[in-house]
Amino acid sequence: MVCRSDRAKIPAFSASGDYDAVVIGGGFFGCKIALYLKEHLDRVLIVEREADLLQRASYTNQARVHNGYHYPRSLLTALRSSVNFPRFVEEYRDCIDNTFDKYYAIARVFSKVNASQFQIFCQRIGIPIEPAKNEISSLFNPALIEAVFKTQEYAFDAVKLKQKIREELEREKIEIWLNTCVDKVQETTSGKIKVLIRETESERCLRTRYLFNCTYSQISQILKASDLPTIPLKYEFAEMALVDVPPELKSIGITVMCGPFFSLMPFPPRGLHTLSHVRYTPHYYWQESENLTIKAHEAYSQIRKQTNFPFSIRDTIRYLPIAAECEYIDSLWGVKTVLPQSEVDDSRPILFKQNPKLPNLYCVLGGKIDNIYDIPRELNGLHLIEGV
Amino acid sequence: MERSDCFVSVIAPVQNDARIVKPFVEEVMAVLRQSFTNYELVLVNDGSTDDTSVVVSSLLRDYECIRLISLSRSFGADVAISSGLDSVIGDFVVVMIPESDPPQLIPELIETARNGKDIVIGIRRDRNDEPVWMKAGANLFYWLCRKLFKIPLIQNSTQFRVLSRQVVNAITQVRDKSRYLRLLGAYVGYSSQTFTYDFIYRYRHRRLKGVVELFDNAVQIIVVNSVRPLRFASYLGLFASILNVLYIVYIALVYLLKERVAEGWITV
Repeated sequence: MVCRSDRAKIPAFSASGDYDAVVIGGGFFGCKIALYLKEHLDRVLIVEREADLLQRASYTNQARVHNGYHYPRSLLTALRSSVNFPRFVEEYRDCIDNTFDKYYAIARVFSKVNASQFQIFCQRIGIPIEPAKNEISSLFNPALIEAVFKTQEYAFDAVKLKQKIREELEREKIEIWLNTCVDKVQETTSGKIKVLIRETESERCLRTRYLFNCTYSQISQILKASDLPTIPLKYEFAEMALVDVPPELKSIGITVMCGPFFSLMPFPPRGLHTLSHVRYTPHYYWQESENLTIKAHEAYSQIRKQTNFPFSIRDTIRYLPIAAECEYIDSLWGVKTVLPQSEVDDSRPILFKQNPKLPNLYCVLGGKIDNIYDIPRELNGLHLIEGV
Repeated sequence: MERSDCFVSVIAPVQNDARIVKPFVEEVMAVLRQSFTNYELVLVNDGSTDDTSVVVSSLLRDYECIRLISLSRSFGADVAISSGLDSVIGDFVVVMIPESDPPQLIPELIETARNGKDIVIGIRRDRNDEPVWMKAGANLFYWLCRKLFKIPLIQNSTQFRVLSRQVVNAITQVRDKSRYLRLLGAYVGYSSQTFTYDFIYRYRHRRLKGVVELFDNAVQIIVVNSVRPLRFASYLGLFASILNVLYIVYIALVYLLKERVAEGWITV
């Protein structure tokens, strides 16, 4: 396990080393959960492996705030997205980039939805849709694209989001340990959970009543190391190509629906666009079982990172000829965790699982950034108890 | 050998080819890996009834850059290849039939295409493996196409060919229902070149089409691609009406000029 430990940054041990709740993983979900917990509990700590918050899945991603357009084949998912969208946009207004126009194009062949179905679907769930102006639709190849629609969807700036979240955490006086990895966790006789923290040479430990595992692609790793029942998950090693687009595409985002197509979305932190492709973005995938867990972090550093950009751009040019002028800059790489179908149903699009052997340990995993609004309901059901 | 820096897509329709698809894929992938920096192989399952799709599915796990398109039923090789053309992303596209076309020729053909030929068309050297009646039928068909129907079909040309991206884009824009690709290639224009090659035989006995199917094919090609049969019918009709008019004139003259005409002969 790679563990970049930096002693100086770790704050001094709190008096007793005891916490009401410890959240492992300082991504967007981990931070938000810590904030929710702080409303009920006194001493909350976030432990993050990286040198800063929101570095992994919250950053190396499409930066899309979904408004439902993506799910023409699941009305309920779409409706839920369209409900969460205004909440997220309102709460994180400063981190939202709404300066670009978002277009959804419908492919003629291999698409699971056609133009009129898509339009009716959008009207039904009440999200804005209108035919694109000629200057936009003429950018597409009419032999392969049936129709282009202007929609309302935004991107978030993960760097601004990080700053905002950090301010919130500071305001609420939530402790954060960076450059710190959790090795394993143990049950203690007093009913608390002992968290063992590994540093370069020594080990430390602390105790907590509640533990939240929000480590996304590392969820099973900690459970496995602690000899706890794991949740077999599927992982994808994914690449997002960062490209500099020609002026005509600078202020727009494009998604082609609904099948093996591409998406060209603005990526605000770098002033570039991400090019993702249903067929070429996932490079590898692996499925865990009860007995087999793969260290996603090690896999990440070992897998050969050879870009699929030559593939994805060629397919993109067929639909959008002007994309030939895109210049490849570099790629964002990341391990994505695929939510197991058994955990997801229409009423709860997240994984929120109590560990059967260690009841105060919860594993939380969300697919999209706005799924965060599905978390409080689960937390409220827990009846958290304070006190040491 | 230096790998040439271009993206090559190979399309191969498969139908009930479970026995030969594995060696075919092995050979194609070996050639592609050795010769090109980027490549993909698109297999189109044309409604196979054997376990072709099972064999291909396991190949998908073993090799990188292979894709499978499954048609809902059997539509014939031309439609299968067309659906492949709708999906491939390469700068150059090789179309080949697994049963008979040798993958070893691919690099050479791509080189020809890169030197400025947008369509490189394969021609089989001989038809010695076919029965006499089939050879005679083929010759007659090509003769008719050439002389009578003026269809620009190259004698003994096969599906084995290389198309540039421009040609593929042009072909995919044609939305005709009948798709006879050997002619669509000619229809879209662009510079072309032929090459002659020998069939390889992955099956001990080549699977030949039945006489009825071949005849149907021939009629279809002629009817769809030539206006001549229609024109012949029109001219025949025109000729018959002219004869009729002449006959009417003759009768009118008889009535006017002759005195003793048999009663009832001129009335209708």
